[in-house]
Amino acid sequence: MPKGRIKIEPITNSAARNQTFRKRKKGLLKKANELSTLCGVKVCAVINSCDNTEPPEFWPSKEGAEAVHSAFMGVLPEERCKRMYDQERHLEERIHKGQDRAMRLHTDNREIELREVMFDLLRGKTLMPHQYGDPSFMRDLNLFIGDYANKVTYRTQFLEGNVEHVPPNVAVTDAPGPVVGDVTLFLSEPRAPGGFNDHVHHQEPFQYQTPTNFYDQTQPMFYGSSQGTEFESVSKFKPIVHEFLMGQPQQMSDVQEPARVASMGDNNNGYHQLLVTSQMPFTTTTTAAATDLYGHSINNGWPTRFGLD
Amino acid sequence: MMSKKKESMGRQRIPMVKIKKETHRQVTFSKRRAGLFKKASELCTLCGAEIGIIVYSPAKKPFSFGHPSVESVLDRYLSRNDLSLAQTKKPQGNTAGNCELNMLLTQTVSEVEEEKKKGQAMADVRKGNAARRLVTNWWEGPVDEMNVVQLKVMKCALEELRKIVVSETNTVPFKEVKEDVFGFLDTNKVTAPSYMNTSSGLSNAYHFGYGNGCF
Repeated sequence: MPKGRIKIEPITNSAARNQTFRKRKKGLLKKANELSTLCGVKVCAVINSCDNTEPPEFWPSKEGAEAVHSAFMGVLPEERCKRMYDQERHLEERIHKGQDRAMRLHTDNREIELREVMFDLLRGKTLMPHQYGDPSFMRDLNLFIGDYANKVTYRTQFLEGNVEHVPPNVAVTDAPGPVVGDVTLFLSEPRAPGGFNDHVHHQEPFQYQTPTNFYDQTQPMFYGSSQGTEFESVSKFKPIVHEFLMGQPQQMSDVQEPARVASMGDNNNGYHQLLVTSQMPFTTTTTAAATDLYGHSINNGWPTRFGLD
Repeated sequence: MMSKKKESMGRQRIPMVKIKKETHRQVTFSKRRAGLFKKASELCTLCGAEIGIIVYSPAKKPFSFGHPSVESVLDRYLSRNDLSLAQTKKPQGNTAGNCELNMLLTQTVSEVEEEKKKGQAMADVRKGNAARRLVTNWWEGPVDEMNVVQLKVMKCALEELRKIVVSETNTVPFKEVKEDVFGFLDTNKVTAPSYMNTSSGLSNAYHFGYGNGCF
């Protein structure tokens, strides 16, 4: 029977209108009855068709309705009006509620999207034109990363505040490689622009496998031909950060970090030499080798598996 | 019956008797009252009917809905006056304004649906990605589970990333974005999403301190 949702607008065809009127009137009164019974409250209703085809209908009955009405008129005018709705007020309320809900969902969706993008960037993927070409997206992304960094800072301060004097450099002196303090050295290693091509992992543009209309409506696909040249410059996004993250853990592997949080599991794994970073497969494969490559590097006392919810 | 308390029970048939539990009764009243008024509003718009409804809450507060207005309808039909008064001309409601509101409401409702769909699509994508990506990196996990060393590494990585994002933002030639950012100039979309008219935006959201421990 349901033929699909109809739009809420005046019905022009008078036969259809009368039929709808009769059906809906019946349903409305049924709902009024249920409300009255379930909640044990007084209810009354008057319904009159627009062209007076039938006499007005009263619920529960004319007398019953009149009784409720008199009681209603006995109430103070302010009390009556406080919760008195006409079409305008009713629709406005629903519109505001709907807009609030849409806004909340939008920001939630945005958060999730930004989070995914951030982690994908850290993994070494690149942005799509419709992302880096969208200033508001970039601005929001910037804010998101900053906010996340603040969380990290806050957590760091919290942990360091609880721990006895442990200068970070001292803790990792056993490590032969770059340490936390030398982070900048690692990053400032000169990299030729085309240097990434030396690496085995292949760069795949980061993209969502969503239906195309997913983005069509919210973000412009192209801003014009200038996008063609912009694309090259995006290579900056590539694995500087990714390499950094992949490279570092191996250096810390043999650190007996006293500051470790209790949730850290065993820190007894020996020092594992991570194979040359450049050969780390970009996209993880199902082979055991790849898993080991990651597995060992992460297993050095740090949790191997985090559920991303 | 209604004894299961552990999870949400979804839609259930309930017996047509007065609800015993007072909180339950109050909740039901709120929801059903809203639904009743919604149906009444639709009947008015679709069929141009005159309607007057009075409802008392469990707390004895009177709610009313009426079209063109509560008072005009109730006075005409329910006042204990003789029938001749009912012949008086019907007051005209603000039909044009209501039409606009109805359209705006339809638009808003569809926007909510859109956002929900987007959320769903994203959730599916994430699931797909998680399945493909067999190994999760340590830095994708909760911040609260990282040790100090990891945190510092993470911090530096994020700062580097941020610098890159900022520099990329600045190199893109600035265009008159404004509303165009959401493709409003696209012919398929006639108007901006209604919720964008409200002042709060994502940037504001960050002031509230996001991330309820979801990391």
